[in-house]
Amino acid sequence: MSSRSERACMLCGIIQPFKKFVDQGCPNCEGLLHFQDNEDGQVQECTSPAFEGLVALGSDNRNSWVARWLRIDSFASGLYAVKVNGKLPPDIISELENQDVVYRPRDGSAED
Amino acid sequence: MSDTHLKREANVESEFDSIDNSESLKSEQESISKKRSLDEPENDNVDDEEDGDQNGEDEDDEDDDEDEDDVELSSRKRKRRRANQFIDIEAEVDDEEDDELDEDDEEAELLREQFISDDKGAEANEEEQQDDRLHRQFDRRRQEAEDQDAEQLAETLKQRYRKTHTVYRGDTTTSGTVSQKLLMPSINDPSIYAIRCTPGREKDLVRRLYDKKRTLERTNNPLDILTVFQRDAFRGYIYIEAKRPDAIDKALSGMINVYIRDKLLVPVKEYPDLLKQVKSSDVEIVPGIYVRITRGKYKGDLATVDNLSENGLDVRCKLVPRLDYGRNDEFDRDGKRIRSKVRPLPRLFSEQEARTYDGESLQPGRVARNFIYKGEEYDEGFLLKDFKIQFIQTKDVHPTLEELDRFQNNEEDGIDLTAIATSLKNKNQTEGKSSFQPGDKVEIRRGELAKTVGLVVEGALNEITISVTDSGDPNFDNEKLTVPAADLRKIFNEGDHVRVVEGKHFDETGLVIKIDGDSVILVSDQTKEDVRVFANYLVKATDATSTMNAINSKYDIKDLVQLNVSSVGVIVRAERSFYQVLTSDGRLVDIKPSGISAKLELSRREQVATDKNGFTISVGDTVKEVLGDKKREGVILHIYKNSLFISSREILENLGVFVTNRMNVTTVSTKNSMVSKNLGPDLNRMNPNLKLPSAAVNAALQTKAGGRDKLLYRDVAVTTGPYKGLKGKVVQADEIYVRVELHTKSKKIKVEKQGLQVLDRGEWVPYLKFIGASVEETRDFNRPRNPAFNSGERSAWNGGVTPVVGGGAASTWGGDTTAWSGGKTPAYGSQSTWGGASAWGANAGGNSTWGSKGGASAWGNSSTGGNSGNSSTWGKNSATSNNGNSSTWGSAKGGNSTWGSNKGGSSTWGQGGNSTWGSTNGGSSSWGSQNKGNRSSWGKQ
Repeated sequence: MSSRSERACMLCGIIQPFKKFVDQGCPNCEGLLHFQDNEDGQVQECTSPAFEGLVALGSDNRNSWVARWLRIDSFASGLYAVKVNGKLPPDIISELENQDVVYRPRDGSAED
Repeated sequence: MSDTHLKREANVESEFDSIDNSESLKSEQESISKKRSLDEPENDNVDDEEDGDQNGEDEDDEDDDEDEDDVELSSRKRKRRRANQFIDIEAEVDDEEDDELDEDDEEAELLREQFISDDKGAEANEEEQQDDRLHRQFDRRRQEAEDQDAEQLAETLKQRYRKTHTVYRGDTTTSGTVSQKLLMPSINDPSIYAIRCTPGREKDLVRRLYDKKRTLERTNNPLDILTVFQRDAFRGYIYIEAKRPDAIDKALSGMINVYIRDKLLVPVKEYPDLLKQVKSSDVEIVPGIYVRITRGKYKGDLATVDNLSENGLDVRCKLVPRLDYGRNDEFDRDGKRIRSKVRPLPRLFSEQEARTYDGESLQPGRVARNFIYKGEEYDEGFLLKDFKIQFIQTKDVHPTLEELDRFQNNEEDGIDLTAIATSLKNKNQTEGKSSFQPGDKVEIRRGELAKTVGLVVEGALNEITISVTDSGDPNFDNEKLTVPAADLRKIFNEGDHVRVVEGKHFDETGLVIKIDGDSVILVSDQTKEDVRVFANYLVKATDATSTMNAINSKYDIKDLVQLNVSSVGVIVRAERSFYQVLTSDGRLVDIKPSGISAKLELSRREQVATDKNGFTISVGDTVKEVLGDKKREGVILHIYKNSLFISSREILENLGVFVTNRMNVTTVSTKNSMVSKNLGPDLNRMNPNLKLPSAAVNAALQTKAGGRDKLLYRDVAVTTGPYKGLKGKVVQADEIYVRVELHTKSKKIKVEKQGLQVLDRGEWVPYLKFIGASVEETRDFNRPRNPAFNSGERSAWNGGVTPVVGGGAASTWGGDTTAWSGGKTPAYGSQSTWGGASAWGANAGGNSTWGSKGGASAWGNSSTGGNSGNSSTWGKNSATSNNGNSSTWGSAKGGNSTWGSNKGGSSTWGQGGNSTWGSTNGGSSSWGSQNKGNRSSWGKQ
């Protein structure tokens, strides 16, 4: 659990301050979740303040097993969480499905 | 955008239509436009692409700028631009125009306007001014665009969208999902090193390393580490993924709080454990779970999570408030309120009390039964309060039943078992209660290896080693894995016969009929009902029989139980939720525990009957059936009226218990002694003359004969010897002595019976008197007499003496004696001589008769009796009698001395009394003197 005002994106797991999510969006999921300047509390719903395990990911992550295992190997460099508590709201999940995006919960409930 | 494109196209079409003269060109164009309409979107994109290329090459920023310019330009201008944009030159001109607008002279501007207007004119006035060079150029470019293959297109698109964050690069269904299992690390993957650091600084270090890496990324000396990570579960370590260990040294140089020397290479197979998302000990805070508060007024109190706040840092908990409504507050001299330091007991919020004691702090809430009191919200009596997440304990909550009960006060829906289960999860784990046994087929429930199937090889507390049988990856088969027990689920097949080893349905067996996730539905062998049980609570069962845990049940096998008013039976089989009872009429019934009204506990004496031959049979006797075809034989278990419940070793059914009528059996042997059947009927019993008295008479006789000593278990007081004055209870008695257990100390003393006083109906009675009169006989006298004596005796004596001495009047004496004799007679029981005493009492001073009657000897006894009894009443009695018996008294020296010693002042009295009394007549003077000498002592007594 982080005591800062940081939140982790439930889709990609990146950790950013709340304000950054609002101001700049998520570097990976912006095209899907549209955090930036979203008034509908998208950041609250799709990011979680409860996360654990801090991973620093550089830009040359192609060979990193850690990144592959956490499925963040194709994402922008940044700090990521190993575990993000909470799940995306169902409507967002179905929206993602429509866009052929696989949502794998990062709270440990993914099964396969 | 698409709008503008369409417009453009329309313009272009019209241009073509108007401009074109040559047939061949026109047909070619038509074919192009057809094609174009076919794959319009792509062409659109191509157009866009071209725009970009023309205007600012691949710089997106400029692209954006251009868009902005678009907006800034007047609508007229934009329209114009649109018309000309498709043509290379025009576009270039357009750009130039933009640039030049700022600096160029008006003329140039005008010229261009003209040129453009010409262009516009061309739209209206047809071809002429247009030369087909433009067309050709246009066609060529189109051709180029079409030549671009799809791959390239995709690449360019990707390139572009990557930069605008519009494409998600995670897993998509098109890119295909990869099972986590396929991502398992191999030796070709980079190494992960664990590096010791100051505990608590892990996150800080990861952040700093990240910053360092980012800073050096663009330099020609980048850090050669791949990732850095930290887990809360592994305190004091950070992990760095790198291909070479020297990269780590480089990365960590100059860092503080990290101990670069403690560098451990993590084994490849432990990689997944490092990055596991779920720790088995984790309890996630979700609404509904039970937690404990760790700080403040409610420290240690149980609460349920109502909700998580938006930022996730506060948890809204529902708990039982501790309020005293300011009742215990005190006010100091200035009228200041001193808050009571006492922590009020948890009680549900009471609106009434709040109103009564602290009404101004109470506000009604939004809905009914919802109140705001002192700024905190109360709903249905419970307090809803936000707590910081760090002040909430989720592990090892262990709610007690009492606490749960408090929560259930207002809720009808019962205890939320799942919530408790979550809370208890850790308890089970710490207890290490594992129901996994080697050979069990299991499946991994969650985590990276989820859905892997295997067989349990061995289990140790929380960790189970399994051998993989099916994981989707053939290479993985037969591999040994160690998995936390909590992550495993047992697999059963429909039709398996299983036994429940935990929980509410403990020890039931049944047939699996359905598997539903973690739970299994089975038909219980016992209740024949469907039962839903956690798969992990089951083991494969080999047998169907099960016996009940006797501790848990009220009734035991072979108990005689009452089913209803008319039927009783013996339990012959006990299952978890029902009993099989053999009733007295021979039926076998299945009955639920609630159907049994009571266990019949008959005393041995009640369970007596006679057999066919009239022999007494009781429980434990062996009897044999004489009627019926089987001639069963067995030991009597219970006797209820005419029914005998007999347990036989030869019968298998119903635990060998059968029921029969008492008239059907003959005694084979009684419990204690053999009875020969050959003796035939008991003649003694048959003889009517020897018929034993009825039980009632017997009982009466028994009490009369009184086998046991009357003193036994009576409260007594010792009157002689070293234990004089002590009280106790008689525990043993024989003819002369009793053993008394003292009240004062745990000791048993042996004393003579005669030296005792017995507590009889609340009064102390000397032993002799106690045994002398049977309880029934004394009853009439005791009550009136004793009080009469006690109260009036002393005065009667004193008052009685004086007249005797003074006037010799017998009347007082007579009065006294009658009362006295009445009491005396029973005390002496059968003494006929004492019958005369009444006569003596009548003629006061009738000494001769008294003495001659052998009263002396009797009196001797009585004096000893007096001694032993020692009760004041008695003592005085004897004194009285003595006074009346002067002559006898005089002669009875032995008696005197004993008596005297008893009184203390006897010798003087005896001496003085003897002579004087002996003479009888002159008694008055000497008595007087004696009185004088003795008065004090006498009075004292």
